[in-house]
Amino acid sequence: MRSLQALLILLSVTFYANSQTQSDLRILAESWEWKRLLQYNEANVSDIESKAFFLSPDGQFDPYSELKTFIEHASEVMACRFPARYAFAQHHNLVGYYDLANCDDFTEFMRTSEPEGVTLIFADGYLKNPASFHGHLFIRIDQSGKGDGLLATSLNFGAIVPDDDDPLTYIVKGIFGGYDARFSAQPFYRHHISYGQQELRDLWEYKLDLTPYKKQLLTGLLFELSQIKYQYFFIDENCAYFVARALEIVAPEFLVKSSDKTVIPSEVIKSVMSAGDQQMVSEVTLIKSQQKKFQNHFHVLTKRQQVALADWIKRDKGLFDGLSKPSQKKVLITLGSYYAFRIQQSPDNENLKQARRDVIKSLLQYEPGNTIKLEEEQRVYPHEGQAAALLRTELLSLDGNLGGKITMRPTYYDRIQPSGGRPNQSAMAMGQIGFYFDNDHLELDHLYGIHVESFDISSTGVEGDGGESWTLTLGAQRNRLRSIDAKVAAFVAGGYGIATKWRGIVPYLFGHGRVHMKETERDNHSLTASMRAGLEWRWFGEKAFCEAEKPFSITTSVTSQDLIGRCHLSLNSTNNSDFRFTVEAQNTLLISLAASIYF
Amino acid sequence: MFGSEIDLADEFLYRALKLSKNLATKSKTYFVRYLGIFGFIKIKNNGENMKKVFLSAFATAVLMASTAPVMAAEDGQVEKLNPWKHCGIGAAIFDNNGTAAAISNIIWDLGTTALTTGTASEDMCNGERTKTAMFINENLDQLELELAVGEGQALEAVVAMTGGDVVSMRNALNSAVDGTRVEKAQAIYFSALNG
Repeated sequence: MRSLQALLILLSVTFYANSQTQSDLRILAESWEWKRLLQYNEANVSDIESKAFFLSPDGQFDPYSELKTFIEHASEVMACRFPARYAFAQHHNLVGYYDLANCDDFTEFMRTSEPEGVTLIFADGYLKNPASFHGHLFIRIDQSGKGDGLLATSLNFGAIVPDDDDPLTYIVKGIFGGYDARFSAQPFYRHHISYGQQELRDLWEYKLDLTPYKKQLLTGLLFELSQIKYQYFFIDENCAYFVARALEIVAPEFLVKSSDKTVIPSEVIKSVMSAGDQQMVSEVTLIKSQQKKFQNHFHVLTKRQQVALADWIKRDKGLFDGLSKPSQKKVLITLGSYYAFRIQQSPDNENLKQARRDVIKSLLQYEPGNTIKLEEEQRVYPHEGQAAALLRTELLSLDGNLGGKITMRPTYYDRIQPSGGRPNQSAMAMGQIGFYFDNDHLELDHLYGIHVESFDISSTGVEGDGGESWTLTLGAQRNRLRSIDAKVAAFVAGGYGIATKWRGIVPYLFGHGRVHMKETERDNHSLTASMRAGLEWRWFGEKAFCEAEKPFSITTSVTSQDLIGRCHLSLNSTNNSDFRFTVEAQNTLLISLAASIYF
Repeated sequence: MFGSEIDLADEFLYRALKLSKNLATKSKTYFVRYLGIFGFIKIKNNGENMKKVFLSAFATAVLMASTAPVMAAEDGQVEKLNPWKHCGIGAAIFDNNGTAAAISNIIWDLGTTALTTGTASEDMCNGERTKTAMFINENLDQLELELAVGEGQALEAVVAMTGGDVVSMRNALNSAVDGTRVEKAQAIYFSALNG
């Protein structure tokens, strides 16, 4: 009888313990970390559709099933295959200890068995490639004491694009999910070269503040994710989306939503910087583009040294020879950064190569050491820039008639917005639409499929340092400056010009061409050419520009139109709003006061 | 272009080292087979003592033949290994175009493997030395300037990888500064390794 009682008690205890364990396991399976490890989104389903990512057949929908299966199959092989899941299970004493240093693929992937940290990297927008307009986001797994990051592994999410796909196919397949995508691991120096030296983009490093356990989870997850293929959608399920999803394992909240219509890298950076009460980021640093490095070097030279440098480039070394040795060295170091940037832009130019070789030879004759000390400059960080989506209301006077305008834009920025994470003196809008209204009308004002302005500023005046600028717009608009009754006219416009910088002011000069439908009833031309000159500057911390444009109607003859004048001034801007004042005049006079919200 | 840069002695030595490595991997089989054949002949002709002497001597000889070069290979092959020649670094795109070299080079690390020349095994080209050569190859423009200045990020990375001496590398660059990209890269690479 006693034996029977003892057996019953033992069975009860075992059952209770077992049910308790199951209950604990269910709680862990529902935890934030485990679900993020499995890439569950806010709809409680994993974004990953690949069966290879899960051990359990129900893993995509049932986190408990996946955790239970992982524990049941725990082994060194499993730990090496799923190092993040292993780290989680081991942290909660669900499995035994396995040394991940024995996992060849994993350590080879990270290039180290003990990563020093993880850095999120934002590459500024690049206006010469539509796919890069919004910038790029990738992750670097840092190693301690090895080459200051250049040798570290970086994880780059991108579409797998066949070499022979033409641009149209690329766009269509990119937008509609025609490409597979994956996280690919590369040494960071390759990105440093391609972004910083070839495309002249700034790289912003956001060093994540991680505990050793969280570092283990994130690096392990990145390895697990690098083993699978995704479907790529340029607008929403892109690099920014999946990098954000990976980072959510160390974030206190979701950084993106699967319902987001667009996901933009700078917006993810903002989410990372604002997530939770505790900062996810310990430090933000800037890797300047090769062009910016040269410009920074140039601006710390004395005037005499700058002239000697400009002369040297023209092969006149008279002034250079008259400088002191330390001054000569500073000029040579600056020349070195100048040719480094020029040659990347013109790799086949033999004259540049020879000049660069002369600089290297000369520098080798000096004692080693960089004698140029750069000054810290004021920066607008990418996370400080305004959000991409715009809603603007305007109160305006059109030849004395009061009216209003509402403008909406899903993305991205214009010339008088703060530049954080976007190239200075540039603009890029996609899908912008505006409606004009007054007492009698509500009508389409403009629709821009795409509008890009890119000023390549020469802040040094040295030959080859910037200057070439361009614009491209595709859309339809009412040209109200020509006529108060202007019709909606579709158009394609392009411009090419030069821009420079003088004491903080940016003067520019452009030639434009525009092919368009009839803008007014009286029109008999479909081609307009114009010259445009203007100045852009900062006042009280805000941006402004004024410009004059002289258009010509072109048919079999050339007819001069009236001069156009424009001034756009930002009066006050914050992270999510601005007020601005605009005056434009040609055949009509348009004055407007606008309030914008960025979200 | 590459043929002139690697002399015949180097090539011969390199191939000998490669062969020795292959022998090493198969040494167990070779050892038993050769020992059996030659040991049997000697046993018949010279009796038991001779057999022992011969077996000992031959075993030593075979072991030396198969393992000594392997040891040398571990130390020496990497020094003689020229990743530009033997592993095809930049072979297709290495003229004078740094841009192309940077974006389309062959990748041994991180899981992607490719060989173009067929003269070296994957293992040989998968080592740290080859990664160093690739780094120098792809960052040559920056590295040249930083060597000329005497400091910089890419230079720090090469020092971290090789323990190379900056002054030696500067001197090597100075000697090769009028050469081709390959010559400059190789001069820096070998100087860094010997640093």
